[in-house]
Order: sequence, then C-alpha cells, then structure tokens
Amino acid sequence: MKLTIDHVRGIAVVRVAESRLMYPLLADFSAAVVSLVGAGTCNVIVDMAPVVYIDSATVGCLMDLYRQAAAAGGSLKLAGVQKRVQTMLTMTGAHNFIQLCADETTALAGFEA
Amino acid sequence: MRTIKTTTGAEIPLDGDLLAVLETLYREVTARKALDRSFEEMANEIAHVVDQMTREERDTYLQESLFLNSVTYENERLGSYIRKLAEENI
Repeated sequence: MKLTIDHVRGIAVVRVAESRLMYPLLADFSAAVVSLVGAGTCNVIVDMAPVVYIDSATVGCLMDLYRQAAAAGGSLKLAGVQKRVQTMLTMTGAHNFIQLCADETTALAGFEA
Repeated sequence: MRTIKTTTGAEIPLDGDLLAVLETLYREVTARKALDRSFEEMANEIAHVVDQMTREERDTYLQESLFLNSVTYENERLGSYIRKLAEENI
C-alpha cells in the first residue's frame, strides 16, 4: 500500500496514495496508524483526497482506528473525503463519530482550536 | 472484469463495488420512476441482478453487504448507547 506519514505540530498526517482503499490494502494502513497511536501520537489526520472508493472493511477499519485513538486520549479525523467515500461513511453512520474535514488545513485547525 | 445488466439495460461492473450496485438500482428503479416505485419492482430488479451472478460473485457481494450492515448496526448501537449516557447525565 502506498502511503506517507508527516508530522505537523505533533499531529500525524497519514497521506493515502491509493485510489481504491479496500480490504487487501488495509493491513499496512492499519498497522501504520496503530503504530503512531502506540508511539504516543494519538491525534491523527488521514488525508483521503486520492481515494475514490472504500469498501465496508475499510469503514470497519476506520472505526477501529478511531476507537483506538479515542481510547488513547486523541482523535482520528479524515480530510479531503471524496463524494462516494463520504456516501459510504454516511450510510454506515461512521460520520457520526469520525469527523470529516474539507482538507488537511481544516483538520489541523480543528485539532489546534 | 465482468459486467451485468439491469432490466433497463444499465451496466453494472462486478468489481466488488457494492455502492455501484446500489447507485445503479437507485438510478434505474427509484429515480427512473420519480421515487414512485413499489417494493416489488425493487425486489424484482435485485433478483434479476443476483440471477446473473456466479456463485463466487454472489459470495463476494453477500460478504460485502453483511460487513456493511454489521458496521452500520454497530454504529447504530454505539450511537444509542452514547445518547442514553447523555440522557442519564442530564
């Protein structure tokens, strides 16, 4: 799976570089975020701008990661969510828990407010 | 990648994208009838779609559908629990 991780003022920004985020790719993605939370970086932004489709396993994975970040005293937000991805998140109710931000700047501002 | 067709001729690629199936059903059944469709019309269209799938394809979409609904159910239960806690704390 193609992704990069940056740190901005203590917040981890995980940039997903795949157009379809689906089950076979989730292990690497999940491991990356779990590793961040385990190392003490519990405020995480996932930049989803290149992602045009996610499957149900991905929604489940994002909910797991959200719960782990929250349990560690932090939060997980999504940035740059495309329309069909947003549809999957709203259909499953995930948007009631995971904050969807227009872009990385907005997500960062939300953490720093 | 295989494609199948609705009764109206719309194509659905069978690449595991469950949302594409839902969007096509909505467009070709619900929206085409200006939201005035019966449950039987949707049931018949779903049956037509499923009939064209191989057993493997049906397994794939069933698993995807079950996972989607299980996540939805979990989130609904979690939301209810949070609302209940909020009410108890008032």
